[in-house]
Amino acid sequence: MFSSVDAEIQDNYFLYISVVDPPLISSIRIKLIDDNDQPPTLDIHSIVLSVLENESGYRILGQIQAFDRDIDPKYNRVLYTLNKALTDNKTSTRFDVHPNGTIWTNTTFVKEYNQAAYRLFITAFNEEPKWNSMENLTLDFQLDVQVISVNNNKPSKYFKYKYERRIISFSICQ
Amino acid sequence: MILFLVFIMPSWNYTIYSSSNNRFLRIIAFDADSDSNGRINYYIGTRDVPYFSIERETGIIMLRDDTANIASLNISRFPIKFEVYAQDLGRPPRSSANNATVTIYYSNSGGPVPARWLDNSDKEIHINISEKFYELYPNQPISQNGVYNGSIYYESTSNIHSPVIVKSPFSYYTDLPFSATYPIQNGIRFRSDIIITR
Repeated sequence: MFSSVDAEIQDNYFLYISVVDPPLISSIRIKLIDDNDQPPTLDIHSIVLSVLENESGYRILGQIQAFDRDIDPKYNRVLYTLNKALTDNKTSTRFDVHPNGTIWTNTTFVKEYNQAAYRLFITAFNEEPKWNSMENLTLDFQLDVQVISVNNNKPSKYFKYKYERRIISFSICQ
Repeated sequence: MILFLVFIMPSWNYTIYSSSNNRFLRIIAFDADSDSNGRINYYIGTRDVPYFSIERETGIIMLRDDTANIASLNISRFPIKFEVYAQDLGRPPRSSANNATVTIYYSNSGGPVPARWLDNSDKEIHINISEKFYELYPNQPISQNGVYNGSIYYESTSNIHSPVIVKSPFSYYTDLPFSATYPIQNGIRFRSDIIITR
Protein backbone atom coordinates (compact mmCIF):
# COMPACT_ATOMS: atom_id res chain seq x y z
CA MET A 1 0.00 0.00 0.00
CA PHE A 2 1.19 3.49 -0.84
CA SER A 3 1.94 6.12 1.77
CA SER A 4 2.77 9.69 0.91
CA VAL A 5 4.91 10.21 4.00
CA ASP A 6 8.39 8.82 4.08
CA ALA A 7 10.72 9.56 6.98
CA GLU A 8 13.71 8.88 4.73
CA ILE A 9 12.70 11.83 2.55
CA GLN A 10 11.36 14.24 5.18
CA ASP A 11 10.85 13.52 8.86
CA ASN A 12 9.71 16.93 10.12
CA TYR A 13 6.74 18.99 9.06
CA PHE A 14 5.52 22.35 10.23
CA LEU A 15 1.96 23.03 9.13
CA TYR A 16 -0.28 25.94 9.73
CA ILE A 17 -3.97 25.40 9.83
CA SER A 18 -6.41 28.11 8.89
CA VAL A 19 -10.09 28.69 8.59
CA VAL A 20 -10.50 31.43 6.02
CA ASP A 21 -13.90 32.78 6.95
CA PRO A 22 -14.17 33.52 9.81
CA PRO A 23 -10.37 33.84 10.09
CA LEU A 24 -8.56 31.51 12.49
CA ILE A 25 -4.96 30.34 12.39
CA SER A 26 -3.16 27.64 14.32
CA SER A 27 -0.18 25.36 13.73
CA ILE A 28 1.06 21.85 14.20
CA ARG A 29 4.54 20.37 14.19
CA ILE A 30 4.81 16.73 13.13
CA LYS A 31 7.79 14.46 13.64
CA LEU A 32 7.76 11.23 11.67
CA ILE A 33 9.10 8.26 13.62
CA ASP A 34 11.07 5.99 11.33
CA ASP A 35 9.93 2.40 10.86
CA ASN A 36 12.13 -0.37 9.56
CA ASP A 37 10.87 -0.39 5.99
CA GLN A 38 14.08 -0.08 3.98
CA PRO A 39 16.19 -3.13 3.08
CA PRO A 40 19.99 -3.12 2.90
CA THR A 41 21.13 -2.21 -0.63
CA LEU A 42 24.33 -2.48 -2.63
CA ASP A 43 25.31 -0.82 -5.88
CA ILE A 44 26.54 -4.17 -7.18
CA HIS A 45 25.30 -7.67 -6.51
CA SER A 46 28.47 -9.64 -7.17
CA ILE A 47 32.22 -9.18 -7.07
CA VAL A 48 35.36 -11.24 -7.74
CA LEU A 49 38.17 -11.31 -5.18
CA SER A 50 41.52 -13.03 -5.52
CA VAL A 51 43.50 -15.08 -3.05
CA LEU A 52 47.12 -16.03 -3.57
CA GLU A 53 47.97 -19.71 -3.37
CA ASN A 54 50.35 -20.95 -0.69
CA GLU A 55 49.57 -18.10 1.72
CA SER A 56 48.70 -19.19 5.22
CA GLY A 57 47.23 -17.78 8.43
CA TYR A 58 43.86 -16.31 9.27
CA ARG A 59 43.67 -13.38 6.87
CA ILE A 60 41.20 -10.89 5.51
CA LEU A 61 40.21 -10.99 1.84
CA GLY A 62 37.96 -7.97 1.69
CA GLN A 63 34.90 -6.25 3.07
CA ILE A 64 31.49 -5.45 1.69
CA GLN A 65 29.42 -2.52 2.89
CA ALA A 66 25.70 -2.30 2.20
CA PHE A 67 23.64 0.85 2.69
CA ASP A 68 20.27 1.08 4.38
CA ARG A 69 18.14 4.19 3.82
CA ASP A 70 16.34 4.01 7.16
CA ILE A 71 17.23 7.04 9.27
CA ASP A 72 16.91 5.44 12.70
CA PRO A 73 20.33 3.98 13.62
CA LYS A 74 18.79 0.80 14.98
CA TYR A 75 17.08 0.22 11.63
CA ASN A 76 19.94 1.18 9.31
CA ARG A 77 22.53 -1.01 11.02
CA VAL A 78 23.50 -3.78 8.61
CA LEU A 79 25.08 -7.08 9.67
CA TYR A 80 26.50 -9.79 7.43
CA THR A 81 26.60 -13.56 7.47
CA LEU A 82 27.66 -16.35 5.15
CA ASN A 83 24.53 -17.76 3.56
CA LYS A 84 25.10 -21.49 4.11
CA ALA A 85 21.87 -22.41 2.34
CA LEU A 86 23.20 -21.01 -0.94
CA THR A 87 26.91 -21.72 -0.43
CA ASP A 88 28.23 -25.25 -0.88
CA ASN A 89 29.65 -27.06 2.14
CA LYS A 90 33.28 -27.12 0.98
CA THR A 91 33.28 -23.37 0.40
CA SER A 92 31.54 -22.72 3.72
CA THR A 93 34.36 -24.45 5.59
CA ARG A 94 37.05 -22.32 3.89
CA PHE A 95 35.64 -18.81 4.36
CA ASP A 96 34.24 -16.83 7.28
CA VAL A 97 32.09 -13.72 7.07
CA HIS A 98 32.18 -11.50 10.11
CA PRO A 99 29.13 -9.39 11.13
CA ASN A 100 30.96 -6.24 9.97
CA GLY A 101 31.13 -7.54 6.38
CA THR A 102 34.77 -8.64 6.35
CA ILE A 103 35.55 -11.90 4.56
CA TRP A 104 38.27 -14.10 6.07
CA THR A 105 39.97 -17.38 5.31
CA ASN A 106 42.33 -19.69 7.19
CA THR A 107 42.90 -22.02 4.24
CA THR A 108 46.17 -22.41 2.39
CA PHE A 109 45.13 -22.75 -1.21
CA VAL A 110 47.18 -24.92 -3.53
CA LYS A 111 45.71 -24.65 -6.95
CA GLU A 112 46.96 -27.98 -8.14
CA TYR A 113 45.17 -29.79 -5.32
CA ASN A 114 42.22 -27.53 -4.46
CA GLN A 115 39.77 -25.97 -6.83
CA ALA A 116 40.70 -22.74 -8.60
CA ALA A 117 37.57 -20.74 -7.76
CA TYR A 118 34.95 -20.60 -5.04
CA ARG A 119 31.50 -19.02 -5.01
CA LEU A 120 30.02 -17.90 -1.74
CA PHE A 121 26.86 -15.99 -0.91
CA ILE A 122 26.72 -13.34 1.78
CA THR A 123 23.49 -12.12 3.31
CA ALA A 124 23.29 -8.53 4.50
CA PHE A 125 20.49 -8.11 7.04
CA ASN A 126 18.98 -5.80 9.65
CA GLU A 127 19.09 -7.02 13.21
CA GLU A 128 15.62 -5.56 13.82
CA PRO A 129 12.66 -7.20 12.06
CA LYS A 130 10.74 -5.52 9.27
CA TRP A 131 8.14 -2.99 10.48
CA ASN A 132 5.12 -5.17 9.64
CA SER A 133 6.41 -8.72 10.23
CA MET A 134 8.82 -10.80 12.28
CA GLU A 135 11.08 -11.32 9.27
CA ASN A 136 14.32 -9.47 8.68
CA LEU A 137 14.97 -7.34 5.64
CA THR A 138 17.85 -9.00 3.77
CA LEU A 139 19.98 -8.75 0.66
CA ASP A 140 22.03 -11.59 -0.84
CA PHE A 141 25.39 -10.85 -2.39
CA GLN A 142 27.46 -13.19 -4.59
CA LEU A 143 31.21 -13.32 -4.04
CA ASP A 144 33.55 -15.27 -6.31
CA VAL A 145 37.03 -15.97 -5.01
CA GLN A 146 39.64 -17.05 -7.50
CA VAL A 147 42.92 -18.62 -6.51
CA ILE A 148 45.92 -16.93 -8.14
CA SER A 149 48.91 -19.12 -8.89
CA VAL A 150 52.32 -18.14 -7.63
CA ASN A 151 55.08 -18.99 -10.11
CA ASN A 152 57.36 -20.86 -7.74
CA ASN A 153 58.64 -23.55 -10.15
CA LYS A 154 62.01 -22.83 -11.77
CA PRO A 155 62.00 -23.25 -15.57
CA SER A 156 63.54 -26.54 -16.69
CA LYS A 157 66.62 -26.59 -18.94
CA TYR A 158 64.54 -27.73 -21.87
CA PHE A 159 62.14 -24.78 -21.56
CA LYS A 160 64.99 -22.36 -21.02
CA TYR A 161 66.67 -23.59 -24.23
CA LYS A 162 63.45 -23.39 -26.19
CA TYR A 163 62.77 -19.90 -24.94
CA GLU A 164 66.28 -18.67 -25.89
CA ARG A 165 65.88 -20.14 -29.38
CA ARG A 166 62.64 -18.27 -29.84
CA ILE A 167 64.28 -14.98 -28.89
CA ILE A 168 67.10 -15.68 -31.28
CA SER A 169 64.73 -16.53 -34.07
CA PHE A 170 62.81 -13.37 -33.42
CA SER A 171 66.05 -11.30 -33.61
CA ILE A 172 67.05 -12.85 -36.93
CA CYS A 173 63.75 -12.07 -38.50
CA GLN A 174 64.07 -8.47 -37.48
CA MET B 1 19.50 26.39 1.19
CA ILE B 2 19.61 28.98 4.00
CA LEU B 3 16.49 28.87 6.12
CA PHE B 4 15.37 31.94 8.03
CA LEU B 5 13.08 32.60 10.92
CA VAL B 6 9.92 33.81 9.23
CA PHE B 7 6.37 34.72 10.11
CA ILE B 8 3.83 32.67 8.21
CA MET B 9 2.03 35.94 7.33
CA PRO B 10 3.46 39.48 7.25
CA SER B 11 0.30 41.12 8.63
CA TRP B 12 -2.22 39.94 11.14
CA ASN B 13 -5.60 41.60 11.59
CA TYR B 14 -7.90 40.75 14.44
CA THR B 15 -11.15 42.13 15.75
CA ILE B 16 -11.97 41.97 19.41
CA TYR B 17 -15.49 42.09 20.79
CA SER B 18 -16.87 42.98 24.14
CA SER B 19 -17.58 39.28 24.56
CA SER B 20 -14.00 38.22 23.74
CA ASN B 21 -11.92 36.60 26.44
CA ASN B 22 -8.53 38.10 27.33
CA ARG B 23 -6.46 36.01 24.91
CA PHE B 24 -6.87 36.83 21.25
CA LEU B 25 -4.85 35.63 18.30
CA ARG B 26 -1.64 33.66 18.12
CA ILE B 27 1.14 35.05 15.95
CA ILE B 28 3.10 32.21 14.33
CA ALA B 29 6.66 32.24 13.09
CA PHE B 30 8.62 29.27 11.84
CA ASP B 31 12.29 28.44 12.13
CA ALA B 32 13.18 25.54 9.85
CA ASP B 33 16.83 25.81 10.79
CA SER B 34 16.33 25.53 14.52
CA ASP B 35 18.31 23.06 16.58
CA SER B 36 16.18 23.56 19.69
CA ASN B 37 12.97 21.87 18.57
CA GLY B 38 11.81 24.95 16.71
CA ARG B 39 11.22 26.94 19.88
CA ILE B 40 10.76 30.64 19.33
CA ASN B 41 10.22 33.64 21.56
CA TYR B 42 7.98 36.52 20.50
CA TYR B 43 8.32 40.19 21.38
CA ILE B 44 6.45 43.41 20.64
CA GLY B 45 8.83 45.72 18.80
CA THR B 46 6.76 48.92 19.03
CA ARG B 47 7.03 51.27 22.02
CA ASP B 48 4.10 52.19 24.23
CA VAL B 49 1.51 49.84 22.79
CA PRO B 50 -1.64 50.26 24.88
CA TYR B 51 -3.59 47.39 26.41
CA PHE B 52 -1.83 44.48 24.70
CA SER B 53 1.13 42.26 25.38
CA ILE B 54 2.45 39.12 23.75
CA GLU B 55 3.01 35.86 25.56
CA ARG B 56 6.68 35.30 24.93
CA GLU B 57 6.70 31.54 24.34
CA THR B 58 3.40 31.11 22.50
CA GLY B 59 3.01 34.33 20.51
CA ILE B 60 -0.51 34.86 21.84
CA ILE B 61 -1.64 38.48 21.87
CA MET B 62 -3.45 39.10 25.15
CA LEU B 63 -4.68 41.84 27.41
CA ARG B 64 -1.91 43.28 29.56
CA ASP B 65 -2.03 42.56 33.28
CA ASP B 66 -2.61 46.24 34.06
CA THR B 67 -5.72 46.32 31.84
CA ALA B 68 -8.75 45.29 33.84
CA ASN B 69 -10.94 43.91 31.06
CA ILE B 70 -12.21 44.59 27.56
CA ALA B 71 -14.96 46.84 28.83
CA SER B 72 -12.32 49.22 30.15
CA LEU B 73 -10.71 49.80 26.74
CA ASN B 74 -10.99 53.23 25.13
CA ILE B 75 -12.60 52.48 21.75
CA SER B 76 -11.33 55.74 20.23
CA ARG B 77 -7.74 54.39 20.37
CA PHE B 78 -8.57 51.61 17.90
CA PRO B 79 -7.39 50.29 15.53
CA ILE B 80 -4.16 49.66 17.39
CA LYS B 81 -1.24 48.74 15.21
CA PHE B 82 2.14 47.39 16.31
CA GLU B 83 5.11 45.32 15.20
CA VAL B 84 6.08 41.89 16.50
CA TYR B 85 9.43 40.21 16.06
CA ALA B 86 10.52 36.66 16.80
CA GLN B 87 13.79 35.25 18.08
CA ASP B 88 14.99 31.67 18.16
CA LEU B 89 16.72 30.08 21.16
CA GLY B 90 20.00 29.43 19.37
CA ARG B 91 23.40 30.78 20.41
CA PRO B 92 23.62 33.47 19.32
CA PRO B 93 19.87 33.96 18.98
CA ARG B 94 18.64 34.96 15.55
CA SER B 95 15.78 37.36 14.99
CA SER B 96 13.16 37.20 12.27
CA ALA B 97 14.26 38.78 9.00
CA ASN B 98 11.08 40.86 8.91
CA ASN B 99 8.67 41.99 11.59
CA ALA B 100 5.01 41.06 11.52
CA THR B 101 2.46 43.87 11.66
CA VAL B 102 -0.49 43.32 13.97
CA THR B 103 -3.61 45.45 13.73
CA ILE B 104 -6.30 45.07 16.38
CA TYR B 105 -9.78 46.41 15.66
CA TYR B 106 -12.55 46.80 18.14
CA SER B 107 -16.18 45.98 17.37
CA ASN B 108 -18.80 47.34 19.71
CA SER B 109 -21.60 45.52 17.90
CA GLY B 110 -22.29 43.64 21.10
CA GLY B 111 -22.66 40.34 19.29
CA PRO B 112 -20.79 37.13 19.99
CA VAL B 113 -17.25 36.49 18.79
CA PRO B 114 -17.63 35.22 15.19
CA ALA B 115 -15.06 32.46 15.61
CA ARG B 116 -12.59 31.05 18.09
CA TRP B 117 -10.55 27.93 18.56
CA LEU B 118 -11.76 25.45 21.13
CA ASP B 119 -10.10 22.72 23.18
CA ASN B 120 -6.58 24.14 22.94
CA SER B 121 -6.68 24.09 19.14
CA ASP B 122 -4.99 27.52 19.23
CA LYS B 123 -1.87 26.05 20.88
CA GLU B 124 1.02 24.85 18.78
CA ILE B 125 0.74 21.09 18.74
CA HIS B 126 3.85 18.91 18.67
CA ILE B 127 3.24 15.29 17.80
CA ASN B 128 5.24 12.24 16.84
CA ILE B 129 3.64 9.83 14.40
CA SER B 130 4.73 6.52 12.98
CA GLU B 131 5.94 6.58 9.38
CA LYS B 132 3.99 3.44 8.41
CA PHE B 133 1.01 3.39 10.79
CA TYR B 134 -1.23 5.27 8.38
CA GLU B 135 -0.66 2.70 5.67
CA LEU B 136 -2.45 0.25 7.95
CA TYR B 137 -5.08 2.77 9.07
CA PRO B 138 -5.36 5.19 6.15
CA ASN B 139 -8.41 7.13 7.36
CA GLN B 140 -7.24 7.72 10.91
CA PRO B 141 -6.56 11.33 11.88
CA ILE B 142 -2.91 11.82 12.80
CA SER B 143 -2.63 11.56 16.55
CA GLN B 144 -0.42 10.76 19.51
CA ASN B 145 -1.75 9.10 22.63
CA GLY B 146 -2.20 11.56 25.44
CA VAL B 147 -0.98 14.50 23.33
CA TYR B 148 -3.35 15.07 20.45
CA ASN B 149 -6.38 13.21 19.13
CA GLY B 150 -6.04 14.37 15.52
CA SER B 151 -8.89 16.85 15.48
CA ILE B 152 -9.12 20.61 15.64
CA TYR B 153 -12.19 22.29 17.08
CA TYR B 154 -13.56 25.75 16.65
CA GLU B 155 -16.70 27.68 17.27
CA SER B 156 -18.22 29.88 14.60
CA THR B 157 -21.38 31.96 14.49
CA SER B 158 -20.81 32.86 10.84
CA ASN B 159 -23.26 31.63 8.23
CA ILE B 160 -20.38 31.06 5.84
CA HIS B 161 -18.59 27.75 6.36
CA SER B 162 -15.26 27.57 4.67
CA PRO B 163 -12.99 24.51 4.61
CA VAL B 164 -10.05 24.14 6.95
CA ILE B 165 -6.79 24.63 5.05
CA VAL B 166 -3.47 22.99 5.87
CA LYS B 167 -0.42 24.74 4.44
CA SER B 168 3.32 24.84 4.69
CA PRO B 169 4.99 28.18 5.50
CA PHE B 170 7.04 27.66 2.36
CA SER B 171 5.16 28.82 -0.70
CA TYR B 172 7.08 26.44 -2.95
CA TYR B 173 5.80 23.44 -1.00
CA THR B 174 2.69 22.57 -2.94
CA ASP B 175 2.50 18.79 -2.51
CA LEU B 176 2.10 18.70 1.25
CA PRO B 177 1.07 15.16 2.33
CA PHE B 178 -1.38 16.43 4.96
CA SER B 179 -4.83 17.89 4.68
CA ALA B 180 -7.89 18.64 6.80
CA THR B 181 -11.27 16.98 6.40
CA TYR B 182 -14.27 19.18 5.69
CA PRO B 183 -15.58 20.47 9.04
CA ILE B 184 -18.34 18.53 10.74
CA GLN B 185 -20.85 20.87 12.33
CA ASN B 186 -22.58 20.40 15.66
CA GLY B 187 -24.49 23.59 16.41
CA ILE B 188 -21.91 26.35 16.38
CA ARG B 189 -19.08 23.87 17.06
CA PHE B 190 -17.01 22.52 14.21
CA ARG B 191 -14.53 19.68 14.05
CA SER B 192 -12.00 18.94 11.36
CA ASP B 193 -9.50 16.06 11.31
CA ILE B 194 -5.93 16.29 10.05
CA ILE B 195 -5.19 13.30 7.84
CA ILE B 196 -2.45 12.08 5.56
CA THR B 197 -3.27 12.81 1.94
CA ARG B 198 -2.85 9.93 -0.47
